[in-house]
Formats: sequence, C-alpha cells, structure tokens
Amino acid sequence: MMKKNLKAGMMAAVLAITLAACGGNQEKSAENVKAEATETKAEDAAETDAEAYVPEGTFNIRVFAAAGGVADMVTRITAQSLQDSYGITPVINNLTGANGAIAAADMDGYDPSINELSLVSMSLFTMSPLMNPDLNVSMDNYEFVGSLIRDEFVLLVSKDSGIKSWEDLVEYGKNNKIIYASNAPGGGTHVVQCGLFGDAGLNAEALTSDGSNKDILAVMSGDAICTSATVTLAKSYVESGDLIPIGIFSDNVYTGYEGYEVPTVPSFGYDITIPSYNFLITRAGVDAAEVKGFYDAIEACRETETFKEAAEAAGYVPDHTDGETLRAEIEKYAADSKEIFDKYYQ
Amino acid sequence: MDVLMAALGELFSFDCLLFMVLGVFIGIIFGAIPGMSGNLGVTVFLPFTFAMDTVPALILLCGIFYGSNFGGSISAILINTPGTNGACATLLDGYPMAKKGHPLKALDMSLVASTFGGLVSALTLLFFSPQISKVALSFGAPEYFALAVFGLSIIASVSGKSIMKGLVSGSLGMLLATVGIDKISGINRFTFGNIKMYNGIQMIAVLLGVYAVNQMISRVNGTEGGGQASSLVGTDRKSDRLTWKEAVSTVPTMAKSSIIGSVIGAIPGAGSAIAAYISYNEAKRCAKPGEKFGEGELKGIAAPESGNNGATASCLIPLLTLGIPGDAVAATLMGAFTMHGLVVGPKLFQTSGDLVYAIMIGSIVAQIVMYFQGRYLMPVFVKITHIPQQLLTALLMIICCAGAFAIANSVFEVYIMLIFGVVAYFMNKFGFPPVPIVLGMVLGPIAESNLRNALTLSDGSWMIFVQRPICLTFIILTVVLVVLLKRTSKKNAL
Repeated sequence: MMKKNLKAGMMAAVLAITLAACGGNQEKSAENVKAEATETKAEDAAETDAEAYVPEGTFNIRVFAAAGGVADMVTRITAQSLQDSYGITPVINNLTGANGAIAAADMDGYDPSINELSLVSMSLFTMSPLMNPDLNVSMDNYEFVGSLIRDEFVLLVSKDSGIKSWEDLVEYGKNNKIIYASNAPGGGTHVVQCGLFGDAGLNAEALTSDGSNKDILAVMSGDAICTSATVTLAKSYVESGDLIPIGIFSDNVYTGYEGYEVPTVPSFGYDITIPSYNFLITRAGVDAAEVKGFYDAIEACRETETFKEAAEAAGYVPDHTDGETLRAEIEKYAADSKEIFDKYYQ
Repeated sequence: MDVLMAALGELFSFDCLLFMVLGVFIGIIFGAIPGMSGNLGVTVFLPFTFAMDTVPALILLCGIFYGSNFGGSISAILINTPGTNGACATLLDGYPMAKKGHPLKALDMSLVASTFGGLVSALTLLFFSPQISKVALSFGAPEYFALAVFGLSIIASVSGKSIMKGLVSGSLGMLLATVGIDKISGINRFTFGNIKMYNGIQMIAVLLGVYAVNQMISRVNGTEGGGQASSLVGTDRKSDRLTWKEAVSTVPTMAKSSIIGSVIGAIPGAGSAIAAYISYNEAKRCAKPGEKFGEGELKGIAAPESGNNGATASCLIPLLTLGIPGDAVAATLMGAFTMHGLVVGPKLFQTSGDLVYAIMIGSIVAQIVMYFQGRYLMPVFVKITHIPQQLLTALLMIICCAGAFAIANSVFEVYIMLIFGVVAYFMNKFGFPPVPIVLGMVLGPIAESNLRNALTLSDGSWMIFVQRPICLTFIILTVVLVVLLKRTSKKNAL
C-alpha cells in the first residue's frame, strides 16, 4: 500500500512540476516564436516600407484591471471590434495589480512587438514609481499606443451634508477635520484630494477603501464628508440627487450633469487637474509606424456601427488621445503628481 | 403590476429558461472544481453574453454564480477540499460524514440547505431590497471592524482541542493577509521586492495548499487514514440518502442560517465565507445534547450551506440599489450589467425596472433549477469516491495546479499553493488546525483596515466602538459568544 501511495505521490509531483514548468516553457517558446516573427517582420518591413500597417495575427492584450471592470469592458469592446474589422485574434489576459506594473512586467518577458500590448493606468508612470521605488518603471521603456479611457475626477458631497459648494466645504473645514473617502495613497482619487486639501490648508484625513463605489457609500452613509470619483461613475448618483458635485479637477467647467454647471478646481485657486487615464502601451523598440497604425486601426473600428452600439450600451465614450500626445500629457501629470507627492506624501 | 407582468414575460421565455439551466450547471461544475470559483465562471462566460439579449445573458451569469456556491460544497464533502471560500465551513462536518460512509446524505443535506438558503436570499432580494440596503448604508468602518472581530471569535469554536493552537493558526492567516500593498498607507508590506507579491497572497492558493496539497502529502505519507476514497461509499445506497424526517429536523437551523447569510451578504465586502462561518458557529452554539459537531453532524452541513447560499442573491442588493458590488463576483456582474446597458445604482429601478425584476424573479427560479440539477447530478459526482486513491491524488494535483494557475494566470500561485501545502502538513502534524488560517485571511484585512479607518473617524478615540449601536451589538455578541463557548467546552470536559 505504502509503495502504491508513494508511486501516486511521485506521479502527482512530476505532474505538478511539469505543469508548473509549463508556464516558463510557454514563455520561452513564445519568446522564440516572437523573435522569429520580429525578424520576419523586419525583413518584410524593409520590402514594403511604404505600405500602411494593417493589424494581423494574435494580439496579447494584458489588462491591469479585473474582469468585468470598466477598463476590462472597454478593452473587450475594442478588441471585439478589431476582430470583426481585421480578423485578428485578440487574447485578453487580466493581470491585475500595481496599476499595470504586473501586466507590463509580463509584457517585458516578450520581444518588442505590436502584438504584445498592455492596458495600464496612468498611475503606473506617475505615482507608482514614487510610492514603490523598487518598481523600476520608466516611460522610456515603452511606446505609448493611445488612450482608451480618459475621465476627469469630480469632487462630491452628500445631499445630507448641508454643503452645496466648495466655499461651504471650506467653511466646514474651518471648524472640523475634513474626512474624505478615497482609494489608498497613491491612487488617483487620493492624489487629487490630498493635493487640493493640502494646498487649501485644510485639516483633512483620508478614509481609504479599495474602490470608488465604496468611497461613494462612505459619503452617502455620512462617515466621510466628501469624495472624488470619475465623472462617469458619479453620474447616476448625481442624477438621483444623492450626491452633489462641487468641483471638477479639470480646466473646463463640466455641464454633463443635468441641472449642474460644475466649477473647476483651478477656479478655486488650485491648479490640480490630474485625470484618470487608461491606455495601451507596448515595449520600446516597436516600429513607430506599427504603433501609430495600430491606434489608427482602433480609431477606424470606433467608426463602425457595431462598436458604436456596444459603446453606447456600456456608456463608454472613447478617448482619442494618440500615443505622442499621450506621452506629453503623462509627463505633465507625472510632474504634477511628483509635486503633490513631495509636498504631502513625504 | 405592469412592470411585474413585463418582467415575467421577459423571464419565462425559452431562451431565458435554457440559459438559466445552463448557467446553474456551469456554476455547479466551476464551484466543484477546487480553485475554479464562480467568479472565474462568470468571467469566462461574460464575453459570450455580449451578443445575447439582456435578460438571458444576466440570468446565465447569475445562474453560474448561484450554482457555484452549491458546487463548492461537493468537493468539500467528497475530497475535503472546498471548491470555494464559502464552502470552508462545510467540510468541518461534510467530510467526516462522507468518511463515515454517507457521502450522498451529506450532499443531499448540502443541496437542500443550499436551495433553502438561496430561496430565502432571492426572496429577500425581491421583497426587502430597499430596507436591507439601508442596513448596508449604516455599515461604516467601526461596524465592519466589530463584525470582523465577531467572526474571528469563531476561531475559538473551530480550534479543536487547543484554542491556543487555533489562535496561532488564525494569527498566521492574519499575517499572510498583510502581504502586499497596504490599503491605508499605500506602502508595500512583506513583498521583498517581488512584484508578484504586490497583490498579496491569494487566499484560494493558500486554501488549495492547506486542504488539498496537505491532504495529498498525508495520503502519500500514509497518515491520512488508509487512503481508499472508495471507503467513503455507503454500503447501502438507500440508507445513504437524506430522509424527510432528517431534513425537517434541520429546518430551524437552515432558517436561522439563511437569514444570517442574507443580511451578511447584503453588507458590501463581507461575503459568503463569513456568512458560512457565523452560521456554523451559531448552529454549534445551539447544539442539543448528542449533536456532535465536527464529527459528521447534519446541522453542521445545513448551517454553513444555508448561510453561504443565503449570501448569494442578497449580495446583489447593494449592487442593484446602490451600485456597490458586495463581493468579487458581484463586481464582475456589475460589469455585465453595464455591458448590457443597465447602469446599476440608485436610478436602476426607474430606468430598467422590468429587466431588474426579471432577474430578481429569475434568482428564485434558479434556486429550484439548482435543486433538481443537484438531485440528478449527485449520483454522478459521488462516483468520484470510486476512483482509486492513487489516481485521485494525481488527478487532484493536476486540477489544483490548474486552479491555482487560473487565479491570476500565473505560476506564482501554484508555488504558493505547494508551499502552503507543505506548511499545513507540518502544522497538522503538530496539531495546529487549518480552519483558523482561512478565517484569519478572510477577516484579518477587514479588521485591520476598518480599525484604522474607524480610528481616523474618531480622531483616535476607541469610544467609537461603543457609541454606534450596530457596533456595540456585535461587541456584546462577541463577548457572549466567547463566554458561552468557554462554558460549553468546560461542560464537555466534565
């Protein structure tokens, strides 16, 4: 019996090790395949330099957010549209965590290719390197393909708080500590609020959670006096009358909520306009024409009826910021974030 | 009335019923395979629903969710490995009962209790959503902390012979839960520069290690009783079914547990595992003389199963009324709702009342579908006990590795599972119970982050925990529970 059990154990161990090793082998073989593909592509490119890029083959798209989330949904809608239009095979892989650092690290294991992409959050290049110095992430290591989602943050208070404007909140802050709901330090909603209350000289402290929905719940229950959320997420709460928008972290007044003209935070005297950005990157070294061509293909897909229908159903408004503009913007927001980090996070 | 009729019209179509049956079946399979949770099932099938109509699509996904919660108990009972977090408490009595030669009876009990809990939960969703969502709104950081402490006090009742060893296991679980990015400070803890550790240690990987791998090592080593899975099979199949009398005797336990589950499920972030443990603990506390919890007691299966299934449909309450997902599956479902044009939150009932009612009523029908599917699938599942031990061990290893890999599409989780399998084996050898590790991992982060947030709210004053009624109630319950457990254990010792 003991002998049989031992045999079974050995068999199981061998199988487990083989399976575990599969991941590594897969990566290795994928690397080889990609290397060959890149070589072939380089040769082809030389021959057909003048030809426009058309997406083809399998696209591995790593997504930094969990399946079912907004970023995941938008990626899937876009990928489906690319598949319908170009016949490519998109493979969506949710590699969550660290604002896309895990997804980017996985992509770094492959040779530079436009077929290897990651959807990451802006924080990967703005706050994450400051919060986690051992992360070793640099914008120089990546090509910016283009943006899928851009959303501004709006400052919200509960309808029951008695606060109706920024001035009211400042008045409240003179006699009370402002408890604001946000995600963990380093996250977008924390950065903008921490910067705002810091610059305004108000005594404020964060009540943190792992999601903007929970932040909204904290405000609605009265535990927190205010929170910030993306304009899109806050929409149904504002329109139902549960939350009141008192400022938008943008240079432009927001008129998208019925009955509101949301003033800008810069109009309060504080230049904090950091938005939420989710965009596609690939490894540095990928041909610039391919990077641009791929985003052009996405833009072309966005014009199709099927895409428009899917986007409308999901309430998704595509962002059209191309890679070059995106890089410049991220550099600006990285500088803004660093300023807040140096002032209030140290 | 018009909305209700429209909802019934949407629901009772051939498509809807077909996808409901399919969804529940898929859910049971995903739940029964260790590591393949309901969330994974919903995620995998989400893209297939893009081209479907709204109600059938959402019914399919909800069916997967409901089915998986019952499915989790199948592997817990038959192979002592919970298929889902929620089924951890089920194995405490489910596996011992199966080992005694009554696997079908244990599965019957689990199915009846799951259906009972699921029905109560679905009815709560349909009739009490507005009231229950107010409870969710009144749950702030201090209440979550008190709930977590109440949950942690259960360690005392699942620690076996030594509470001290249980506390050590619980502390290990809490410690493991601290790995990763701290939600309050944003700083990395115990990541040792490894980027894979940023997300923390995944509980399912630990669960697979602690239960499945540990067991396999024990079997190979000959320390896990003789090792023939076929020894689980009852000699007389008729005597191995749940009788009407036995089912009726568990109704009060199921009713109480279902209510506990429905309320806890509606609290965002609490989840079915907490509901199952609290229900189990409550059933154990009310045990009559002669009822031996931990040794194959029927109520020990009925309570956690009604509890964890009670938390399923009700976890949609905060999602549908407030737009707040109750747990990971609800978060994925939220994406599905959005993809189909339903913006969850305060205006959902105004804008899409008929569709929402169709889903709510569908949740009730899905429980009945689950019962009949479970009834017919059970004899098939129980065949697992006929597989020779050597083959079963090897097969389980493959399934567990695949399950661990599927958590984050990474081999890292497979290593975590193997490491904790070895750790649990040695802990087991020295008498440290595994259940508190799971409790510590589930409740530790809730307790920690909410304690710190509560102190932020109160400016550092601990009085906040006695000034808020719900919080104070939980604290009193915790004290009463610990005192009662202490008395019971003293009585038993005499």
